[in-house]
Amino acid sequence: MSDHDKLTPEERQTYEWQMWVPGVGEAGQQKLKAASVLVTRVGGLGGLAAYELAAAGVGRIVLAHAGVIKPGDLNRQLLMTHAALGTSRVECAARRLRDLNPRVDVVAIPENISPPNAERLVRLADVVVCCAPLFEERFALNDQCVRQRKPMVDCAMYELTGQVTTIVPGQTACLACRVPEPPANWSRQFPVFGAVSGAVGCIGAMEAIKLITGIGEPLCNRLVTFDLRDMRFRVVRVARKLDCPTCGSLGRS
Amino acid sequence: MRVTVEYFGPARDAAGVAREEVGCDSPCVAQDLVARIARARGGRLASLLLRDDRLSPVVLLAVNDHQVEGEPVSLNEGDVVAIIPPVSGGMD
Repeated sequence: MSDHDKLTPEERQTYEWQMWVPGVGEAGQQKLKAASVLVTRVGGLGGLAAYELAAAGVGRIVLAHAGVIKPGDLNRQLLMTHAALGTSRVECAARRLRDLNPRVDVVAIPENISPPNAERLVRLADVVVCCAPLFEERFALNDQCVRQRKPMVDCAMYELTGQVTTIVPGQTACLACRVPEPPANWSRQFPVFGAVSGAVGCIGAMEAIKLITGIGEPLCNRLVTFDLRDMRFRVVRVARKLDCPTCGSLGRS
Repeated sequence: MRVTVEYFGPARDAAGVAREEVGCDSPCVAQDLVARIARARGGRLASLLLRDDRLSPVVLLAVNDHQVEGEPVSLNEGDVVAIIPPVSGGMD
């Protein structure tokens, strides 16, 4: 921990409520301050994940998202504003995070994840929160996280349903272990409430906080799925595939 | 015997129910039961869960909250089979 990561008196005041959480304290908050997290796409899922990570005082948050804000984004993409319709999503999101917590170094990258840029973007972070819509993006991110041995929190949603799992390369099932090929039926547009994407994003943020601070038990080799229509929650044990073409070569660690 | 089948996400939409009790003769294999249900219902549930008339490899099945992977898993009275298709994020 460098001097730069020591907490100022003002930071102690700001974060004291979470520093009271057993296992966090000053040391845990310093870990958050020293950490960098990549959030890929900052829409309904990633926007909420990034917002909570900024509030928690993660030192650097890298946002990756292309495109401009459209009216259909606004029911769930809470970092986007009506006033910013037609302007850059990632710039609007970065502005909102800086308004919330000016202590955080927010890096805005107007790109979506793809095989050509995944290596560079994953290298910018200690932890990745995957909130990408297309399975091609998710696979590119998973592939690079495995190569660089970076943990990835995998967040997904549909209608009133959420799914979150945490991938630690070499220790847990990676995305390709569980989903060996792009699902044929997945549609990029589907019904969803912002309260659902927000719930998933907040769970994803908590997973990243747990990975960084070392508190609690991240969803390693476990996938939480829930349906808010009737409040069914299940935590399913998932298994790593040793013949997985993406992570199988890592062996067991 | 009777087991409970739970549907999540798009599977719930396609099945039209969140959960149901299903009767099956023992021995009953989880993967076979789910494929049989998908074939019997047809339509969206079949296209979501089946590929070439077999269970799609991308659908997560769990029996009593443990992933069913590879080997056939025999069911017992009262088991809960969860059908969890992969989902993702959204974009327009």
